[in-house]
Amino acid sequence: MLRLTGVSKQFDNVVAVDNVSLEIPTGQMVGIIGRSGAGKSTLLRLVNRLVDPTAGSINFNGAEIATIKGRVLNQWRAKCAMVFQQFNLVPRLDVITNVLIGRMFYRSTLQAVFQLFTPEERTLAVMALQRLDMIKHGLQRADTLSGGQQQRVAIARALTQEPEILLADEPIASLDPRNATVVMGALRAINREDGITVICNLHTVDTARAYCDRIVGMVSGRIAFDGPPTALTGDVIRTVYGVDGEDEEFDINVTSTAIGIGSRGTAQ
Amino acid sequence: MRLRIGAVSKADMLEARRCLPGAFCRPLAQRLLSWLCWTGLAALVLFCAVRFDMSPLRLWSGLSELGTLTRVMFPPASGGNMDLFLAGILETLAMAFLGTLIGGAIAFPLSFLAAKNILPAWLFHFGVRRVFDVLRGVDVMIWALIFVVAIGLGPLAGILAIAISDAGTLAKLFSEAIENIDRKQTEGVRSTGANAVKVMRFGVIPQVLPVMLSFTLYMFESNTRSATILGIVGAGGIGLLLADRIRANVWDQACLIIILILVTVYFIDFVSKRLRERLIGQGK
Repeated sequence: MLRLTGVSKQFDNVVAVDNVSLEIPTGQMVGIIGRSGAGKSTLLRLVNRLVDPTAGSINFNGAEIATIKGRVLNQWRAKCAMVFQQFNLVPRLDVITNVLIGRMFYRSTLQAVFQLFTPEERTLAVMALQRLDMIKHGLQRADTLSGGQQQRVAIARALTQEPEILLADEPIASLDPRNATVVMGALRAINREDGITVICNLHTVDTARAYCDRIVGMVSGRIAFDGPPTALTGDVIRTVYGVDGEDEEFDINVTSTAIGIGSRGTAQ
Repeated sequence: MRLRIGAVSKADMLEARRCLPGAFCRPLAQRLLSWLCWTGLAALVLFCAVRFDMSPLRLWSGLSELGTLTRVMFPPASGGNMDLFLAGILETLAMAFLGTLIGGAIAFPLSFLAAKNILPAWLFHFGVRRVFDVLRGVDVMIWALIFVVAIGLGPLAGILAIAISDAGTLAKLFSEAIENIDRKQTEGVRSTGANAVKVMRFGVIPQVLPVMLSFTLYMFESNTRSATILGIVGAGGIGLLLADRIRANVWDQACLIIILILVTVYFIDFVSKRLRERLIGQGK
């Protein structure tokens, strides 16, 4: 169980995340939706502690996360793996080494510097690549891969961390619909088959609806909606995406990238 | 189904080795090559050390000599020449400033001629680049010696030496900056129907100008350091005074000059670093 209580993050004058409280039971797949700048990314970064909260408590299975540092913090980061919109691989390293980076916490600094990984760890990395169907690209440099392939390598890296939670920050925003489906399918499988909690920022409503057990809508750093996909009505979507009233009537299908669902919409 | 390091079995390991042997061990040829490179490097270092007689004994006796020098350097003293020293420092700064400015002004137009993406005539920019190489390949000290003979002792020789060698270095750096521009911006401007010069003005200059100014400031920083030595060959500035003191064995005054140089260089580095940060950070 991941429990956020009154979590806030302020950058200079901007409150990115404003007093957010959220309880996520183990094994749930949660989609976070909201406009750009609503604080979705910051919320995920707060959980991984890539940014430090200005107020509030983050609690995982009874342990406080918001204030830990040093080795305990690194251990937490290993436990809650993260996947990014721009994949955040090391482009000049080959795929297998990128995946082995997932073992960083478990290696001593000296071993890491000399790339000394155990045969078991190398096997684990190969198995992760097999699972994501990327084994045939294992020795290629990461920058020779397409976006969808890179994101699958990033997920393989996340899996070798042996995570309890997987945070995905707009994982499909840079991908075409087919690759988006493959990546979302992989996240879904990891959630269903491994029982790993998945928290995923998404910018299309249908993707969230199609893949998540629960949807959280954020508006200006606060939670404006929290419920199952069936409760996500047109009115709620309008609250989440059009709260300023500056937007005229909009069609959610226009922004859709998911295959099969809402692909009728074409931009202008 | 969850991947667990503890659950990796012997069979898994065999299977993984079969699927992707490269994940476990690099090919023999690659390993041999890297061993060869490392051994070659070690041999080269050893050979040079022996050839130049880098024995620990010689280094040790040299160190003790340095100790004696340090003792006669302290306390540093001006000997009533403080005004002279400060004027020398200012002269050195002025040389570095003017030299860099002139060098940058020469480099700016030339760099466009040398950029492959601006002028797609390879013979031409190949030629321009070789000119840069000549300017750059000859060290600033040698330019200073040449100019001292050609136009006489004094700061003008130093300014010209810095300007010429900087023109070569900066033109190379500028043209590389122009070649590394983000093509999306120029494409955006070109798509509106702008001609080559207009594309240059709005698609290229806004991206490269901060980089160019930053390089020029860095060169000014570096020239402040190198201008101090130019005096030693007679090209004016504080270096001339320092060389005189060292030749005459007036070590306490030499020490004061070195301290003044350090303070100046530190000050210029600090100011220039601040300015460069502001230039690069613009618009963020």
